[in-house]
Amino acid sequence: MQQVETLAAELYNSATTNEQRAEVERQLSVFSTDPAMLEQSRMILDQSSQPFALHLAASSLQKLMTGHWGRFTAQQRSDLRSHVLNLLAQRGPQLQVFVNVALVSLMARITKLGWFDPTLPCFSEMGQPSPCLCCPGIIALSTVSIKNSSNCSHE
Amino acid sequence: MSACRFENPDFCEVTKEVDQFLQASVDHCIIGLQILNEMATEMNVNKTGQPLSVHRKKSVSFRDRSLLQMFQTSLQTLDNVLRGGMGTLTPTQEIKIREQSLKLCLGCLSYDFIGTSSDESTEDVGTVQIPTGWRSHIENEATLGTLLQTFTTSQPAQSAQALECISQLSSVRRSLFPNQDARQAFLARVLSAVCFCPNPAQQHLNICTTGHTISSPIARLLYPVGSCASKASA
Repeated sequence: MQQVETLAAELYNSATTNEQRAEVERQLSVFSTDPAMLEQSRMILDQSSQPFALHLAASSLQKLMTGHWGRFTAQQRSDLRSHVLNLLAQRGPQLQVFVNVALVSLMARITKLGWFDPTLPCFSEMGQPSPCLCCPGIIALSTVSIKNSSNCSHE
Repeated sequence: MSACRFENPDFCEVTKEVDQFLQASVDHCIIGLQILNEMATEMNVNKTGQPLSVHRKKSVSFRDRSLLQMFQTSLQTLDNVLRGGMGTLTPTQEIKIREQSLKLCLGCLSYDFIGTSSDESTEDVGTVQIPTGWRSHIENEATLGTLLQTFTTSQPAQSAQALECISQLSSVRRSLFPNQDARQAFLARVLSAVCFCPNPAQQHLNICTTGHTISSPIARLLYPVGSCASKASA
């Protein structure tokens, strides 16, 4: 965590030379290219108080979501979106303007990418009332789970 | 606000979620307006290279579900600031609220309603293809009044934004109105409001005219009014 904060500060520091910046960017690029880094970025958002690290986490998550949308489950997408909204509600007024801009941008991107995503609670409700609704509910759920786990989505 | 928890899995309910920001403190309200602004841009522009058909479906769905409400929010917030309903605002807060509300208002009025401006080279499309359902809000005198009052009471940068909103408002498609009389009445209201604006407006106009940003809205305002006047005299 501390290492990431140091690197993020170096990345945005005007005193850093171009070579150093390229090296830092290479080290930090994993956050915006590897879907497995989702939780680490979320942890930075939660725990770091350093604006550069927060900006890095938010912009990396935006790249990650845009580039690998199909790799995340509906639950992960929804959780991240709620997480960002809660962060803006709780800490937004105290955060730097550029951090807020990155967070708002991330939230809007997830909202657009998932605009027509079926919401899971609706399907679980479909399973409840009667057998004739239960079948399409299960079919829909299985389709959603296949779609979400496959990587061939255009999004 | 800190007690609120966002756990809504339906992304299309974004305006409801943002309402919680708008009703909390002034700083939260500014963040809420920022979110709405970003949503309007994100849904209007295909930033992620999605297939055009997918982008348009989302863009149209957003237009039908949320855009009118956002337009109303922008006007209500401006009205609230003008009436002093937001309590004591610091100068920075007031500028930010006006700036974000006007940006939102302009963003709603400049939305690519029918998917015609995907070609970025056409900067100025001219006619605003407002959905028919918006008519009562466009014709409502309070809409023009709020924008005009914002124009006369704001700093030059926000005044310019307000004027752009008014010019966009006056460029709505003619088929929005049921007949020529209704359209003429609407344009006459815009024209008289702008022309007989109290002195501070002229002062702002003088400051603003140095930048070319203002000349374009005025020219656009003159076009529909001019065409209307020539028809009336014929």
